[in-house]
Amino acid sequence: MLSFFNILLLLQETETRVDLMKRAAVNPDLSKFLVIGALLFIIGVAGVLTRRNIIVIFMSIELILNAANLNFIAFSRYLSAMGNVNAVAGQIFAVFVIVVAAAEAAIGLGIVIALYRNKETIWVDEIDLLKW
Amino acid sequence: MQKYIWLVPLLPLIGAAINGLLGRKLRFSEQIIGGIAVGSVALAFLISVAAVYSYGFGGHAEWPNPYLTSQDGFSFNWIPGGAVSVNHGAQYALLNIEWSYQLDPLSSIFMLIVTGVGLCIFIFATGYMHGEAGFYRFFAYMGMFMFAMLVLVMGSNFLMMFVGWEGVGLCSYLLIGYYFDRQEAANASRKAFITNRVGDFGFALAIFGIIATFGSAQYVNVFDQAKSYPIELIGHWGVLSWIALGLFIGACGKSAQLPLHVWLPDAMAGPTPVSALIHAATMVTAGLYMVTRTNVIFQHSQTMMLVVALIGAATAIFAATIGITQNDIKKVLAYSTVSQLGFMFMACGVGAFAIGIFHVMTHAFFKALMFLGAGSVIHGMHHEQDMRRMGGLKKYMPYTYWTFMAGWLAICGVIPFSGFWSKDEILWNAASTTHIPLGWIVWLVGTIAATCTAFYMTRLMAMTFWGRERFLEAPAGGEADEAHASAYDKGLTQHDATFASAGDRPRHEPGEHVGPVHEDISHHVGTHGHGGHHGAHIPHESPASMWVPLAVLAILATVGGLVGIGPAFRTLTGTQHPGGRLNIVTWLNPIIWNPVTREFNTPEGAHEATAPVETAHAETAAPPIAEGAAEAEHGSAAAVYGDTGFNLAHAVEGSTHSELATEWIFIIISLVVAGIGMLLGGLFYVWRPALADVWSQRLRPLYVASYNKYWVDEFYGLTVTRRTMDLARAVFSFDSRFVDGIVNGLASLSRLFSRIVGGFDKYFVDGLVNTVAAFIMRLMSPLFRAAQTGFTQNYALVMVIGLMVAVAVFFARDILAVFGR
Amino acid sequence: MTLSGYEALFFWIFGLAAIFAGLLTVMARNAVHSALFLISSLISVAALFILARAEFIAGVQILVYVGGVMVLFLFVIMLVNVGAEERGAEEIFNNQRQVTASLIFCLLLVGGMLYAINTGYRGLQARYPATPDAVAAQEILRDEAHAPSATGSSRITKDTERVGSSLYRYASLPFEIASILLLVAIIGSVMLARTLKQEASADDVDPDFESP
Repeated sequence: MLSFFNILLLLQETETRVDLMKRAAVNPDLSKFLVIGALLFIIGVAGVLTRRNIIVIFMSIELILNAANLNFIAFSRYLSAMGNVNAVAGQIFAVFVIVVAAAEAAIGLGIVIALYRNKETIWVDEIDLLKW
Repeated sequence: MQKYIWLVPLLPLIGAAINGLLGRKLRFSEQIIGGIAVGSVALAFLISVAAVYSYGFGGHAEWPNPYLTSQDGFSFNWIPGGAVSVNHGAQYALLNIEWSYQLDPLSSIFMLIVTGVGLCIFIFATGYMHGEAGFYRFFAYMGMFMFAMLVLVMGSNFLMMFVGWEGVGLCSYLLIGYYFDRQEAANASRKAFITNRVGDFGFALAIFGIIATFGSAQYVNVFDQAKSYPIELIGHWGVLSWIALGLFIGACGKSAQLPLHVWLPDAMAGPTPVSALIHAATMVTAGLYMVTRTNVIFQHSQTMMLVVALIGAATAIFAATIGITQNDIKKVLAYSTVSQLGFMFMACGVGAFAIGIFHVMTHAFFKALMFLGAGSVIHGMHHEQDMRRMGGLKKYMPYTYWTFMAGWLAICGVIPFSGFWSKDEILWNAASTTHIPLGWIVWLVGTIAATCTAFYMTRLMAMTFWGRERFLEAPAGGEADEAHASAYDKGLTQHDATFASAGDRPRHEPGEHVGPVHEDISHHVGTHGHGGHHGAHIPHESPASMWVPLAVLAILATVGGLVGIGPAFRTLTGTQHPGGRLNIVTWLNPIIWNPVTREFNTPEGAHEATAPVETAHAETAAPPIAEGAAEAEHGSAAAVYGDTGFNLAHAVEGSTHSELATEWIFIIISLVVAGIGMLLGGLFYVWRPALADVWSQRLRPLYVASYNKYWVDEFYGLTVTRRTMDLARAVFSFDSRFVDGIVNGLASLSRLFSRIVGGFDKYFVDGLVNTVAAFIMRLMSPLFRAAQTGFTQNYALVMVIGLMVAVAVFFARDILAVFGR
Repeated sequence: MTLSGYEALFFWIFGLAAIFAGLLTVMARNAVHSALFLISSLISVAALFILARAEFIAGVQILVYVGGVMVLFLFVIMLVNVGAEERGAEEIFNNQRQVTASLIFCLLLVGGMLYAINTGYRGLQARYPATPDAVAAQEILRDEAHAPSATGSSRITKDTERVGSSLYRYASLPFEIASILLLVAIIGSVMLARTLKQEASADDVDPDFESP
């Protein structure tokens, strides 16, 4: 099945821009992975900056970490395709990111619990003790 | 023994220091204080006697050469003065003033007088000042005075003389003002000091002139050089006349000659021993000492000799006429002193310097005697000084009376008492002088003054010792001290104390009546306001400590003149000046400069020595001598001083043709006038007492003028004193308005300037600071504070912005390329 | 590593799903909805991992991330009362200024990232000029080399084997440190989330705390 498209491609000698785009869309490459990762990252950052609910902010932070993971895995795949013997390092990195994210989520939610017990609120704009 | 003359001034000084510094602190008793004082003076006297004896009569007698202590290695370079330019000879001279004592004929006489008469007075004072709280202070000052006087007469240079001069002036001030709580005493001491100071000004100028001219202040150097200067006759006024003028002004101040005599009568406000020692025997004779010491300089200036003689004569008659009308016994004696000092200056002025010193000596004896006698009278009369309240004291105070009589006869010039010899020689030398013209006027004035002297001294004797006992009728003032004596003069018959007496003298309370309460005393024995021992004071004789010195001085006043038996008695004595070195004229000869030989006289005697000189003159066809060869001493001077006009002695001799007869005529004249004076005194005050008032009425203007001392004090007050105070007030107002105005103006300027600077600081500088602070506080602070929202997502946003900036920086090149395209 | 065929199709599906789910995560009103959208996003990303031949990581993601962390999230959401939020009484977004500023900068940032990706990829392509055909051919060869699975419909990749051997050999130190980290996290979270009663019963009350 894969070879079908490849042969189609090979039959075409010249490529226009639209063709390039079509090929890019049909054959997503490393850059597409990275784009998706960047978009997820930005969505996560926007969530951190805009939401009032502290739990949602945490979830946005998980989005960010996830996007970073995606980047790692994408590069690992790319490098293994390129023949780099250390390509598996990306996946190792991703493992540890997941570990850290889990630990961080646990601690952070513990803090949220403690904060909620003291201030009875989960809205971050009400937690402004450091305000001048 | 001469080596130890430096002890002579030192011993009284040590005694004074002990008494002054420790007398009060250690509460010495009167015996100890008196013992220290008298002992120190007695020791000084003994050393002086021994030194003078060994100097003049001993084995290795150095007379006639002066002996300086620096010869024996006691030299002390007091002022290393360095080079001073002189206006003759060498361009520069080394002016190193040394502190050394000189023992020579003149200073030896003064040493003996000062210590000897001083010793008598000290002993008297221990009795007179008994009971005073300031006993120690009195003897401290007296010791200081002795020291200063001895430095004056024993010094070997003019600066030491000046030191002693000032020192005796100071001690005179201290002692006149001894009763410092009395206004009269304070005024009198100030007057004495200031008048002295006027004279000292002239003296100081003369010393400057001496140093500038001769390049040295040592006597031996100065006189050695002065010998060779040309003589300045009348009409020629040279440098030596200037120096002599300055010296004489000093002498006028110190010895109370005519324009500067005003202090001496007021100085009677001090205690009587002070009056005796300072204002009779010693301090006032310092002027004579100075004139005789510098006789070289004076004899070089005929004008100054004339001035000296005339002022001396004027003073003599002036003071004598005032003394006739005074009622305070001490004032009479004071004016008598002034008059006799005039006599001494007369002697110096006519060239008889040795006779002047002789009169100093005899005057010291009889005047000190009379002052101490007056003190004894005052003491016995319980401090009554007005002679109108005395009388008939002869039988109450016999010792005082007989010793006083010796003094009276001496001052009147009765042969053979001491005063006769000296006064007669003065008058003879005045009549026969060839140094100056107008000698006959000097003689005439002197004779009249001698008459007045005899008159008022007899008056004093009569009012005090003879006649009716007036003190029984009008009780004596009692407890009136010398300072209140002037109250009598002002006509206050009774005087009230104005102030309470100071601690030193427990006597009066303010308002306490001091004086006779009632005319009738018989009911009021012992009921006076204070002490209870007034009423009819029966005078009593003084204790032994007081009349024994009187006796000693009386003996001296009687026989003391025999050292100067004059040449008129050469038929009896065989020589012109009998006694060899003991004769005062012979003794003093080496320090007298002879204008004929232009050298100091040699010890064989000027008069004998002038014989060969005189022949030398005849041989060398000297300028014609107006009189014959018998005029040895005086005629020779005529060769130097030119024609001096009418010469009384020569005129008389012209008719008698014998010098001896001439001399005896003058002796007879002076004895006769003395007798006339005494007889008149006895007439007016013993046999016909009413005549005194009659004649004082008839000669009213003269009497008033004399009684008011010719208004000299008032004149000085008007012209000098008040004008000086006006000047002081003017200067003060100038200073307080102008000078202080400038200072205050500067202060105002400073204040104004400081206000400006302060305003600048306040508005400009502080404004700057405040602006900066406000900028930070009001503008920047809220701005930065706004960043601390406490809102975590704001911080996260900032982080994102930073991340974005980092990315942009990473792609800066490309971004710029985008825009650059 | 060019994907093609069904791989490309599923790449686009799951990719868009991940983005979409992520968007909804930050925009959902209900926190539980947010969590569920996040779960779906994570699963989509796990699928993308599989497409990237990182099967083990995908499994770990689902088991740990979704199965552990998101469950924990849900527990905590239940613990804190969000009734008001559900009723719509509370505002879910911050004040307007913050949101506006955030969106602007986020847009700028994503622009920058995309540009960076493009530039970087061109650089990478310049560096590794291998043609896609040769690469694809090599990959096919490698894929063919794998052992077939039990059912014979797919092949068993060596990803797990590789990750494991690398993890326990070359990355063993970070592995151990990560385990200590997890231990610390356990202890810390237990301690943070205790109630006062639990603290008191353990005699572990803060000395500065005044008991009510």
